[in-house]
Amino acid sequence: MKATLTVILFALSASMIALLARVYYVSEVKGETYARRVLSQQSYVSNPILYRRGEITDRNGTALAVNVKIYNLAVSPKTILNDADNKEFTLQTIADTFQLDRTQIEAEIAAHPESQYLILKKDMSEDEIAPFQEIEEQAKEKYRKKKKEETVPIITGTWFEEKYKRRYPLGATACDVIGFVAGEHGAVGIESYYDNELVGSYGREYGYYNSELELQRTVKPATDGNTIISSIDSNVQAIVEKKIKKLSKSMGASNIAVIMMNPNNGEIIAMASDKVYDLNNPDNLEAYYTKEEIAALGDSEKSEKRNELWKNFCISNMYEPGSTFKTFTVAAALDEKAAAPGTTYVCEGEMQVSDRTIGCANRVQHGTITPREALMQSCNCALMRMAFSLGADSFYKYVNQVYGFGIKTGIDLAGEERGITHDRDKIGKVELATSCFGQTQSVTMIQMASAFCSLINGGYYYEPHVVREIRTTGGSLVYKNRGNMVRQTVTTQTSDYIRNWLRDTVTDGTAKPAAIEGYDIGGKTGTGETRSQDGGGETSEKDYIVSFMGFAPVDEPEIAIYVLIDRPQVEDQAHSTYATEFAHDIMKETFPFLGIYNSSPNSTAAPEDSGSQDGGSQDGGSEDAGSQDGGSDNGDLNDNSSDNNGSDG
Amino acid sequence: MKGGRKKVKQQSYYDYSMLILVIFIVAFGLVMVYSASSYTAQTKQEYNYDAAYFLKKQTWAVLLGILAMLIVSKFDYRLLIRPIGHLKIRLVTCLYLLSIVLQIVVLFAGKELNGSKRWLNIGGMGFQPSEITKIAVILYTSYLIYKAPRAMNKGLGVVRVFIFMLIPIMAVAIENFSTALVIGVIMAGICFVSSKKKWFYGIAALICTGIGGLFIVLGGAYRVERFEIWRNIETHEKGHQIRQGMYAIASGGMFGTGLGQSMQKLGFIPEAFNDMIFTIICEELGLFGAIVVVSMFLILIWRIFIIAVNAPDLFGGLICAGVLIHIALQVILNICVVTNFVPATGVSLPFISYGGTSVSILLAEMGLVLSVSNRIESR
Repeated sequence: MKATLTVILFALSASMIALLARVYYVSEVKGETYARRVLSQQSYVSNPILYRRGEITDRNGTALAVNVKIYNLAVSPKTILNDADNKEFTLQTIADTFQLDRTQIEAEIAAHPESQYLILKKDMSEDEIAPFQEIEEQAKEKYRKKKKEETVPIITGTWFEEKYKRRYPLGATACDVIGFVAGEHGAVGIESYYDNELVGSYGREYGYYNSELELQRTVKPATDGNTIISSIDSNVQAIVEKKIKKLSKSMGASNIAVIMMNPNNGEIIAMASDKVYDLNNPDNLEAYYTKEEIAALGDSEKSEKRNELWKNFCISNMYEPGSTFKTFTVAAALDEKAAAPGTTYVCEGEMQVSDRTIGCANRVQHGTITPREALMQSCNCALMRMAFSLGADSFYKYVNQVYGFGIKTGIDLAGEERGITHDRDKIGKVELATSCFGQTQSVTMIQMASAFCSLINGGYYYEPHVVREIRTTGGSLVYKNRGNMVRQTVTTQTSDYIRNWLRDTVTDGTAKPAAIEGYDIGGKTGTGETRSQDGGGETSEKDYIVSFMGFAPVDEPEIAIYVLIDRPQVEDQAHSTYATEFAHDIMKETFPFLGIYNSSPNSTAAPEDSGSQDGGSQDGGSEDAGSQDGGSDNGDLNDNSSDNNGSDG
Repeated sequence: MKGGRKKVKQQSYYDYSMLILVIFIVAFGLVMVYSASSYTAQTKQEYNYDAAYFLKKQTWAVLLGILAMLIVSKFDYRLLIRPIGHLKIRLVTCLYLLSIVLQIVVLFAGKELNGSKRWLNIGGMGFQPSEITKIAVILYTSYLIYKAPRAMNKGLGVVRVFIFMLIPIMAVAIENFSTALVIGVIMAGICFVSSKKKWFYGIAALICTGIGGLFIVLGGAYRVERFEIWRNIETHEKGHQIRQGMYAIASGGMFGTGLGQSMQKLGFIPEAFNDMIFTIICEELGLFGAIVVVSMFLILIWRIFIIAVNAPDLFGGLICAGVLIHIALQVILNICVVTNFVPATGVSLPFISYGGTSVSILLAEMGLVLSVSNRIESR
């Protein structure tokens, strides 16, 4: 039995190995012929089905990015040229219905006699192609009814390709946030960051012949991309952009930018800068350069300019924030018990730090002041003393680890910058003294706004984001961002102090122009030196970034706003009043849209104190009146220095 | 083939390497079933558009089969031929009768699929009695020979075995000729192994070829057509499935298009996860994958061979021989069919093709082989 079974085993094994040779024969010898047939039957019976890119809406459902179907007219020159009966009719119909030059079409077709595919006209709407399709149908109908000997021409070798094209109904509004699509994928903004969610997958229609020679059709439907619901409020965004445009026209500045966000969950409500572009035509530079200038640019220069234009200022521009940063230093000092609400500091108008003298805002002597007054009057000297008692270690920790400067906030947009902060071993006395009021370290707007939100909401740092929800086309929820709390920055008690002191800054301090009657607003102004243009330093012509960082209502903040004007084109740039008034304007017009109404009775007491100022700005109505009012009020308070001015030695 | 008489078991042998190999092959089979079936499953309503529809069903069958294999392997296979209690009947006879009964039941109460009644519905699960017949024939043939080994050297003795076996085989052949053929060859193979008169089988093979030829001619247009398709595979309109299978093998090349990347499974090869699964392996894993699969089967039958020749008694040896022939034959026939080496007939690739009954029974057979291995006494 053993011998027999051995023979059987070898026979079976040999057969199996021999069959591998058969497989090799099929795969290698017949391989090429068969493989080609596989491809040919694929292309013959399977057609791709287009998917629809996901739409983008704002928080209220207003469409920000949609798709429209467009059609390209394609022809097969080979088919047309070989079909003498129908050639004339086909070409004439194409020329007539699409207003194309007949001789030109013929030349193009004659140039590619063997081609099966040639696009004659692109990007047509359904209405544009309808007449042609009608003629085509009629001709077919006639052909069916003709008598035997008759010749009736039909249209041959032409078809329409369908495609989806991205449209942005609001044009340039929120361009930095939404972004646009290049080819099939997003280039910047939400379109780029959420590209994976927005793209769908192509479907396919297959047909094959089964063993009974019946054509079996199976359709694998396309999967459309998911809908993205942004946290942007397009109404608020439009108002902000309108205000920016207006200011840019009346005053002018290198850059103007605004962020409005919900401090309770990190949602961005509006994010805008003055460099806008039409999303439906993102390559067009004509808004910023004349035609001659554009013509003179080389290709690489053009793309450089475009990239510059497509940048989102609010997340990718780094600058020294100036006095708005003082809020962070004061909060850190309170939190670390390096300062208490009752601590007093003496301001002599300037201070000797190591080998240099650092002046207070316009060398005003504030005398003996508390941290509250230091914020209200934006006193550099008090801040420096506070920073010294806080110490370099704690300061470094708060800046880099607690507030998150020098690291990305993680906002869901591409192109975010990190900012530049001092390394721990680089923080000497001078660096500490200047950093504490917002000089020498660079930040981005989104870092400032996000960290500021945590100061006023009780100390909770939320990751900033522009997308609230992602839903499938069927409406089911894929993802919802309810606010991602990353860390606790300061204690709730510190947050309470900061909120109240910033209210006082608006009612009685440097930020008076921000006040709006009936609203309970807190905020801090800022004037930061910027050195980028003149090479910096101590030349007489200094450049400034003025800003305002505010929120409302003070007791339970619902909205935070951060406005920034980079190098306002005025004689004396160092007045944060421009930014404060600008913020006032925006807040006044957007608050009704945001559902923020007049504050509760007990907190309206605060604005009443500065009734004259509020009244003035309301009666005047225009910005000019507001600006005069604000100016004079500041004068009363600050001995002629209309505002703070961080000036390092 | 002596031994098994000593009651004192010193140290039992258990072929773990074969156990692991079998589990590996069925796991590989599950991967390939999913790859080959997911498209079909997710595009058809009858499968709830669930890509894992076939995978899930097959996984249950495999788990059931592995359980059966482990349980069977732990019992002494000789229990099958001991009388049950005081009754005269033996388990192996019960199984033999049961297979005949089931085969007759299926002729009347079976579920019709693709024009053949091959399925019984038990508790909502489809079940193919012809697979039971395979194991019953292996066991009962081995038993008959074990009872009278010398008779196999005489013509009458062989004819007696053949007659016993003809009943279930004919019952299968009515609806499923190719399975009957497989069972017949297994049975003949077992007899051949046990007999000393080899010339006898030369004559028997000639007669069978004659009968087979007659069967084809008399089988009517259906079987003639099969030959026509086979000879004109590239042009015959009904050669679609095999032709597309060969396209699949051809487009795989040396290393294949990658797991899950088959084009041909997208509706071109009907039921690609069934008998045609080898073509999908070739397309996705290439010639290399085919060599690996065949090598796994070669190692498997080598292990079974080792157990067969060391088996403690003739019964165990013949069981192993039967299982060996069963697996090898199906592998060979399946690859022959999908490469159009022989005319199309429905033989599945053992352990890998989709089919719950087949994989469960095969695993149970492996349990028997393991049980035999367990009785080998270590020296």
